This record gives sequence, structure tokens and C-alpha cells, in this order.
Amino acid sequence: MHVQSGAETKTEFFALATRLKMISAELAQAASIESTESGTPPAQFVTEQGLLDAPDVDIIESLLHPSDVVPGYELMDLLGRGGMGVVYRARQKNLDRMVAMKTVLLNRMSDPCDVARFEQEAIAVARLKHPNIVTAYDFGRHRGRLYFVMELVEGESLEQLLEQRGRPDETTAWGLVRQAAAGLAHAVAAEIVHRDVKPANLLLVSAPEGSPLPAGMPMVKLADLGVALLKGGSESDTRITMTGATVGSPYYMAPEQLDGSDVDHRADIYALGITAFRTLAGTAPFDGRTVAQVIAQKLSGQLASLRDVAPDISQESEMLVAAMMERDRSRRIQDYRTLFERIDHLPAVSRPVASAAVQFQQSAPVHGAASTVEFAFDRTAASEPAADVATQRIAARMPWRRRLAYGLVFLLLGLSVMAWICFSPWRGRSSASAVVGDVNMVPSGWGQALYDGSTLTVWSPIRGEWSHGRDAEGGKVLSGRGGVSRQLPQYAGSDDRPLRNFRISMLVDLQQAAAMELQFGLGSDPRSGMPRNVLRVARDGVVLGRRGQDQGKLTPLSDLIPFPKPDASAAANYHELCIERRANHWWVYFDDQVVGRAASDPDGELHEIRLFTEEGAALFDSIEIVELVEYKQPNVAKETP
Amino acid sequence: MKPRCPWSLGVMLLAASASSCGRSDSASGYPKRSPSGGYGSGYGAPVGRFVDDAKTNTQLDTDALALSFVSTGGTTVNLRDFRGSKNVVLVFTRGFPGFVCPNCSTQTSRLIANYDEFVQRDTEVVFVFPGDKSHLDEFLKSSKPAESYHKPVPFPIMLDQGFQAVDKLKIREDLAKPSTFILDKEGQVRFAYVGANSGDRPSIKALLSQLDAIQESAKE
Repeated sequence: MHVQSGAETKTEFFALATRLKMISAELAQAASIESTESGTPPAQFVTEQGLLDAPDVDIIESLLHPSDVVPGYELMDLLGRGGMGVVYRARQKNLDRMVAMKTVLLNRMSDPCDVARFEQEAIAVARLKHPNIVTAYDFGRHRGRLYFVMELVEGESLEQLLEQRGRPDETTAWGLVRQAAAGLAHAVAAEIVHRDVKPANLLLVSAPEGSPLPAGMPMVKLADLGVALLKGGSESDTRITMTGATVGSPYYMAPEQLDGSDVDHRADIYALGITAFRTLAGTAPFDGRTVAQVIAQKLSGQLASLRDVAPDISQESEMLVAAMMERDRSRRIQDYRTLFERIDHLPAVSRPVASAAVQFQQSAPVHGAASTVEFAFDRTAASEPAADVATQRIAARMPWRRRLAYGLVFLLLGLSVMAWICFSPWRGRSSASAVVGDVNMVPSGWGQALYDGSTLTVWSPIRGEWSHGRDAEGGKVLSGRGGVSRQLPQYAGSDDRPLRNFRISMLVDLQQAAAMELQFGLGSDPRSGMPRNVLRVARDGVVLGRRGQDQGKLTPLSDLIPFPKPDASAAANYHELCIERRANHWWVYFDDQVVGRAASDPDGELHEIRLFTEEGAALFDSIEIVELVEYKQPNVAKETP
Repeated sequence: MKPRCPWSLGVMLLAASASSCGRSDSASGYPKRSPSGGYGSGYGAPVGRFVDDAKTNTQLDTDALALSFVSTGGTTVNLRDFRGSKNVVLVFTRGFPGFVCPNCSTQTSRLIANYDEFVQRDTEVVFVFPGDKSHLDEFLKSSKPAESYHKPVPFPIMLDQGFQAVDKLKIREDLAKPSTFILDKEGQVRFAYVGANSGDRPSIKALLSQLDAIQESAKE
């Protein structure tokens, strides 16, 4: 292996950061000088300064040492990155072939115990072999990473084509959907459910010569089949939905995925139905602008009708898509054989291909280069923003009765949630009568800044981006989108006494975020799902609750406190969150108001808090921890413990 | 606007009792939220800081601000030197209570980010870091905005290692109470604000308003 000098590595580090557009050339130059002068290694320097987050640094370090990441493979370039992993173009040395390699840092997985299960399932995925599935070559774990090696498919995704060029004609659309269904049918025979079917995971490449596909029809390759397993089952899919970390997925997920039910292949049929709708209409069957609205529409089953949005589509297509998108899975199309029959009997598909007006142009295939696929697009649709068009069309064509029904559904959903919160059997746990016996406490004099404006390495991103941000007056604050964890100190003071009772406080400005959560008191046993307490601050209210596992269903432990109306004249709208662990309870406050109380198990809880934001970034400031000790008032009998 | 805590109005109230911020405590029967540590803990509850409508809350003789400091560069700076040319915003941070005080670093980063606004108002910011200077670099590192971490702080940093200035102004606690003073070009004290806890400091907006008022009165 080529051994580089420190200066050479440093130069390459910043050059790579610039080439990957992680930082500007100017900033890279300044950082390089500063790093040299301070004698700090570049990776440490950029992390400490908040210029790059840990995943960015990992990408650079990986590409700087391309043969050290996974034995037998040499990383060539970065292809993309997602919420959990990074995809590289790599060379498999022994076969001298180019492959795609997805790597996931194990410390970014919420539950280390799931790794073994993923490995078992990944082996099953690797056994699949089908022309409409991206072939998995290899899978393993090395130096803190999981890696998947896959066939390198350098086409565009259906998502990209829909975004850039609008919808294809009806025949082509069903041709693409049918191929995806063929891949999924093969997978379900091996008892594998994709769980994340969406246009972004349908890669389109030129069909090989001699393919039975109609001339010019792109070949579909289903991607991320194995990697979808990393999302860890239905509960985790819900997690992604609730945090908005994967923006696209909630739009395609089946209702049963959203409510945490077990998922089978019918969830993929539902997602394929949404994909078909999107492909045929150029837009999704929702008029909700937020994930919450989309979820509400899905759960209510009130999706737009295909021909409301795209009147030129045949009635038969509309009925088939509706049957695929049926909310109740027992009434949905039940299997792929039925789906194939229904597709094959559509007028747009059953008529001779030659007369189907399918026009494809494709560039001459070049070995190793991306093949470009073009097909007949609806230019009208392409020229209009899909979401706006959908909204306008749905609004314009939806009968008033249906609009009323939508409104009622939302209202009922809201009332149901309120009723559930108000009458939950858990509610009584925060009653005032339960407080007798809690000890008054005061700060001991020891504390620590959990965010000090300098060190970001102590904040471990779970997903999204976390960096130094600026508040409305230019103050340096923690800016975050997604999720992050922060270890808490275990000892206090110069005598290193165990830190048992303490207060954590912080200021939060929701900014663009729809909601944020402070999670605390996490169970330390990963096998239990790490149940945790949650202070959830959303624009519709503030509540203390408990989740059985990461982003599982939130069981309220308190009443819902109204979220203060934002001060429109203020540049920032900060709110104070405060949690206090006093002996066997957590006391939770929002803007000095008691939210509620939760049980605490000091010996069985992780010394850790987690922050999550939904649908945007929020600002966090003055995050501090203070040790609390029992308050002993002179000459006054203290409360009976 | 950040939420304000009722007790931030008086440190005496805080120091004298174990009262809390909780508004609903007594009525509901909930236990009181543990009181802030005020300055003593170094990390008092952050509510109440960066006050937009900060008003002078302490009486000072002009003589009390006849101060001189040694800058980090070793030069002696006398506040009288600014008379006739610049207004002065004199900012005392708390010092180093064993870690970087978040309120101090946020305030400092805001002063750095808005320094041009002060310059436009013929104003110099004089920033005082009381106590042991060995942690000054660490403090400034935490306070500089990420995009200008390699640049020097634009305003002079003064040391008060023996707390002489802090004691003269009677703003001593375990370290210093966060305090802000504005002197006009004639050396008159126009604004004096001593924070009731670590987080109780005037916002940038409050300081600029004070300076605008000074400029307006000078025109009259």
C-alpha cells in the first residue's frame, strides 16, 4: 500500500472535500492552513469546527484509503448517499469488475442486536436472481461497517425521469410497473418483502439485445431490495415516516406499515399501486402537503381518483390502480398472479405494441457508461409542477361532498387522537396526587454544557444533518435535522461521584420543523427495544409520552399542552425544555410549566439523550446538565420521602 | 423572543429562597421545579436571557467606569481613550466556571456576528473576560462563528485576572455577573444592566436600540 506523508494526505483530504462539494474551495484552503498550523489532523479539525459531520468525514477517509474499507474491493467514487448509508462505485479486485457498494456504519443503527437478523435476511436476498432485480453479489461486516456489494446499474431512476420529463404514455407506464411486479413476485417466492417500493428504487436501463421487451421499452431493475432490510421491519418504517427523514417513502408506504402492523407482500403491491398512479398521472394521489396530512389521507383511504388527475387515462387503468391502493389489504389485489392478469387485460396493454405509440430513443450502449433511456413523455405534465397541478386538479374536480368528507375525516382523526390522549389509561400517571414523596432538590454547583459551541463530535448523528448554526442574532447554536444522540456524563465533581440526580435544560426554536422530540431515560438493554420517555413538542401541542422502541407508537403520559402561538414579530421563538431526574422519577417542564412525570430507573437507563426533528431543521441552544442534590432547609422539617 | 422567567427580575428572590420558575406549581400540587443555580452553579436556567426590552437596572457613578484593562495583546486600554470618538459597549462575561458557559459563548458569538452594526454606530465593543485567562482560547473557540473560526475576534478582549474591575463595579459572584454597560462619546453611562442570572443579558437588538437612542439624542 502506498504510504502517504501527513502533508500529502492533508492536501488530498481537503481536495476531496471540495470535489465532493462538501465545502467550498476557499473554506478548504483556510481550513487546510488552520489545520496545519494547529497541528490538528484534518478529520479531527473539520469535525471539531463543525465544517463536516461524521458521515462526511467517513466518506472522505474511505475514499482516501479505498482499499482498506472492505477487503477485496477498491472504492472508486461516491455514487450517492442516503439516510443510513453511502453508495460507492467500487472495483472487485479478483474479478476486475465494477460494482456498487453500499456501506452502513454500524453505530448509525439504532439497535445493534438487529444486525444479526439483517445478516440472515441479506443472505436470502443475495440468493435472488432475476432480470428485474439488481443482483446482490456480496454482503458482510468489516471494521464497524455493514457492506452490500451489488450489480452496478448506471441508469436513471423512474423518479428522475418523472421529475425531469414528465409521465410516459399509458402503455409504457404499465410496462414498467409490470416488470417491477415481476421482480417483486420473484422476491416474495423467497419470502422477501421489499418494503420500500417507489419510483426512486426503479432503475431504468436499456434492455439487452434479444430481450422480449417491446422495442424501446426500458428494462426495470428493482434496487435496494436487500438494503431495505436495514430499515428493520414495520416499526422502523414507521420511524422513518414519523421523523420525515426519508421524505419519499411515506408517500408510498402501505397503511399497515404506517400503523406498525406486520407487513407482507401486499404492502409492496400497495406501494406499487402508488408508483403506478404517479407514473400514469405524473403526480401522487395525495393533496396533503405534509407527511402528517398524507398519512391521514392514507389511513382514511381517501386518495384521489386517477382520472380526476389524469382524465386521459382509461377507466380500466383507474380501477386497477384503485384496487392496488386499497386501504384494507384484505380487499387489495392479493397476489402477483392476479396483478399480472389484470395488467395484461388492460386495453392499453393488450393492444398490439406496434400501435401503442410508444416511442423510445436510446443512445448507443457504451460499455461502462450510463445508458440513457428516453420515452414518450407527456410534455404538458412535465411543464407543470406536479404537486401544484395535482392539488389544483383535485380541488377543482373534487365534488363538494367529497371535500366535506375529507374535512370530516381529518376532524374525526383529530378528535380520535385527542380522545385517546385524554382518556388514555396512562393519563392518570401524571396526576398531582402521585407527587407526594418527591424530594425538593437544588443544584449542587456542578454542571456541564452539553453543547459548548465547539465540539460536535460528542453529538452522534442518528440521521440527518447536525452542525453549528446561527440563531436570529447570529449566535452560535446547534442546528439539527433528523436525529442525534448525546452521551451524558456519568460522574460529577472533582471527586467523581456518580451523577444520579440532575436537570437537563435547553432552548428550542422549531424553525422549519413541524415537531421535535427530546428522548430520555432510554432502556439500556437493546433486546427490549430500548423503551424511552419522550417530550414531544409539536405545533399542535406538547406532550410527555413513552415509546416502546425507537419511533414506536407514542403512549401519552400527560395531557396535551397547547403549543404557544408564535410571535410573528419576533425573529426567533425559543421555548425552554427541562427534564429533571429526581430519584425514581423524571419531571418534565415546558416553558416552566409542568408537563408531567415519568418513572425513572437510574440503574437501568442509558446515560444518554436523543433529539429528533421532523420535517425540517430546528435550533437548540444552551443545552446544559446540572447536578441536583436534596434540598435541606434549615430548621424546617423536610417532606417525608 | 425567548421566554422569560419571573425570577430573572431579581437575584435576591432567587438567592433567598428555593422558589422555582414553575407557574403552576402551587396550584396543581406538583413539586416545584428545582431552582436555578443562578451564577453560583454557572449554568442557571437559560430562560430570561437575551432580553429585547432590557432597561438599565443598576445605579452607577460615572467614576465607577473609569477603568483600564490589559488586553490579550499586552497593551493597556483605558476607557477614557474612547471619549470624543466612540461610544463604548462594555461587556463583562462570567469568566470560566469550569467549562464554557453556553450563555457567554452565545452572547459572544452574537457580538462577533453583529460587530459591523456597532461600528456603523460609532461604537467599540470592549469585551472583558474575568478571571484566569488560561481558558480564554477555549472560550473563544466556542464563541467564534463556524465560518470565521480562522479569523481573529474583531473587537478587543480585555483581561481582569484579579477581578479588580469586577469588584469595583460590584458585580462579583463566584466569578462575575454577566453585565453590560454603554458609555456615550462623552463618557457618560447611558445603560447599565447586570444580569440576574447567567442567562439574563441584553440582546443585540436591545443594545443597538440603546445606541440608536444615544445617536438620536446627540443630534438634538
